Amino acid sequence: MTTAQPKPRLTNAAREALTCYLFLLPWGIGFLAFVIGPVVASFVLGFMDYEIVTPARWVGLANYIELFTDDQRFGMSMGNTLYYVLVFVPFHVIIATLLALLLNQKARGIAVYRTLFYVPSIVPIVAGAILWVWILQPEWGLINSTLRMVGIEGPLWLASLTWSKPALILMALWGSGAAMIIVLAGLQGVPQHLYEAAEIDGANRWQRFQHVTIPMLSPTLFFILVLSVIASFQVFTTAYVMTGGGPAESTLFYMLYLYRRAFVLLDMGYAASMAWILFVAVLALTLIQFKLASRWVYYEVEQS
Amino acid sequence: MAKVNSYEKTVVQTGVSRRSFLKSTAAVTGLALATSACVAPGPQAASDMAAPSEEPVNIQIWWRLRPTIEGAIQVFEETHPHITVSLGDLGEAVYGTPKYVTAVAAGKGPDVSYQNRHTFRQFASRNLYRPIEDLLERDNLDKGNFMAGPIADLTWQGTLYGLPHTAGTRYFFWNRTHFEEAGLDPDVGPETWDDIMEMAPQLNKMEGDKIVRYGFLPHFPPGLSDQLLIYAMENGGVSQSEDGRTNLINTAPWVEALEWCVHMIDEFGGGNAAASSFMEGFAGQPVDPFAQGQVSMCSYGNWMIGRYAKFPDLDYDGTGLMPVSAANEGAQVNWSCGWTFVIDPNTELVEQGWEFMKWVISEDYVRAAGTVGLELEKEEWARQQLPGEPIFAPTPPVYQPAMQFMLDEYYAVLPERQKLMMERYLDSETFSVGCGQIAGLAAAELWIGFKNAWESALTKKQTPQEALDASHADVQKALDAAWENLESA
Repeated sequence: MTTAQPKPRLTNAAREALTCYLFLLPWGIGFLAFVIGPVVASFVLGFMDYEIVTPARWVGLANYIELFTDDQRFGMSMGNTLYYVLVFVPFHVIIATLLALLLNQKARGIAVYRTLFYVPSIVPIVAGAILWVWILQPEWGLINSTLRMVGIEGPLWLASLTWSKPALILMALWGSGAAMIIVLAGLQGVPQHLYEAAEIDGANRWQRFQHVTIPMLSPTLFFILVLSVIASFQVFTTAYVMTGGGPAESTLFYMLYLYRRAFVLLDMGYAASMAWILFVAVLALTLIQFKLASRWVYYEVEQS
Repeated sequence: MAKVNSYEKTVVQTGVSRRSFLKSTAAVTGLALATSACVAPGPQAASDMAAPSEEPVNIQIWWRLRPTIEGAIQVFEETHPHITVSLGDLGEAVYGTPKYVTAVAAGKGPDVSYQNRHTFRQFASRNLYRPIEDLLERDNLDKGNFMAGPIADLTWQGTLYGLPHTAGTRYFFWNRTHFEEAGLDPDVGPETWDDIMEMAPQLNKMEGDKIVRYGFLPHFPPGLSDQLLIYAMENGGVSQSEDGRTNLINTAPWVEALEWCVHMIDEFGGGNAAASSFMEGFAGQPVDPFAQGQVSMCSYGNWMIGRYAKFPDLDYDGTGLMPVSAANEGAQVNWSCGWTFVIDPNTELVEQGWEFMKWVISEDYVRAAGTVGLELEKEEWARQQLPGEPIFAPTPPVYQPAMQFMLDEYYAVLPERQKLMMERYLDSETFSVGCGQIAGLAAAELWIGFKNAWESALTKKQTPQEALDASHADVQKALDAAWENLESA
């Protein structure tokens, strides 16, 4: 007599999937509640007049229309931000690459030098900002005091309409150590045999850099470029702490203006529409970068 | 656990697909979000207050944390055993209170909070504070026992929204030693702008072609963003029309005041670059250039009367009667601001919060905070090895009985000079205009407007007229929107 074996209630695959989803559930709930929820809410709020403490009122495209037709600060803050992006990003990528090349040498104590250059990028941004307020101080700050020793009268830096943005860029470049580490990792991933082959072919140092290092490093540089552009469009903390957007709004960057509209002037609907414009602008720029990447980024896997 | 079991049962019956999982998760989360969003908090009416219970009740208070306050709170808890206090820091709060605003909007505000009066009416009009007229009336707390200016600041459309705690006005200081060196009478400060223009070059000290000591700089203290207001008032300027609907900061008195400030810096301050460079040197420092003897006259606040006493080399004097322009000669001019306690419109602990507020405005608080403060001051004088007895001049309270206690206990024992200066300050409170009334319904925009106009004119980015026109446009737009929202609500 044979007894029928009970059919398993769950197949192994289903049980595995269930376990997987259960583990993902906390993250999923958090993602929905704290990422997707606010994203959707901000999109809707962009079409509303919402002062945080009063009921929201539907205004259609009024916020967007006002931004493009009746808000001088929108253009000004975007202009300030573009200036920051266009100056900071190239310098950031170049400095990170140069530092990485420098620190990729086999020299005694190289780990110490790498650490020294990396440390500024882990200094809390507010602490770094306060430190730089002192460094940039026109009368007795480190930079102007040094310049004065060689007979140059330094600018007013943070108090100057002309120099306030370069001052913030200078401070941001001080933190290029994080990008440097990424480039350094990229450099160390370049196969040695490529250099040896190039050398056998008679390539000099510059040619090896130009035709081996740069192509092999291009995915890393592209990665840094994309992240730097996105982060630069969101520059906020240094300006908030060091200048408050001044003098005369010369450092009123887009995110600082957005913050002011949202949390100082309680104009959350307007700020939400600003956030979406920034999102679209950054998304478009990122897509353009990806489109252009095929012209200069070399992926070894693709070629093979 | 029950939820997991029931979920498993569902899984057995229907299988798990990514789509169904996401659907159910989204539905649950969406439902939870929608439910929480639909619970609209509203102001608590006096009749809905929670009855005081036997167990100690914990109230949350956001304040500007200092050792004096923590010490005073201990005294409060000892004398009010049925209430315990959780202190939190208020964060940035002078030109806006983002932390408080967002917390109240989320229904999670502190039961009681400290607030500045710079933006008070703007926020009161948007129901960020619980009205307290009913509590005041029930407990027979007479508004007449408070300084009149702060009470007016906190009143919006006939209703009081907070209890004023402290007050302070602008104050004009001068360095007596510098005056004597320049052959000026050290007992008499400037009374008019003409006096300042005559004295400033005499007080300037040069090294070659560089000014190393400034007679007077209008952009004082470093980093403050509302200096323009006092100079405009000294020239007869008012910030808005009586009905609060029209902003007036681009009218002639304001433009002339800003022109005068630019002129003072260009003529007697070596130009904006030199003066800003000098002033930037003190930004973020615990001491200002007047305290260090590098500026001879300055327009600051009464709270510095006591603080300047910590500089033994500084022989200073001052008045709350601000120097005025020729056009406004003879006018008594000043503006007053300060701190206030409010109740969260959503709290259920109104009674306990109110009990704390009544205590904190009273002489009991002044005694508690003063005891701690005096001890700290003694330690500070010992630490800095300052000569003589500590000069202790705590912030003046707004409630008259507490003020009387402050006068008897602390101000009466001040050295003659500081005592006289404190009397002059108290006199200035009688004619000062409150900052809440100055700023109105577009307060946050107004303070930003002052800063923008000031910086644009001083850096020559715009003329004073252009700079003030631009700020006026911003503020007026916000003012129109505020009134429109208010009337359509």
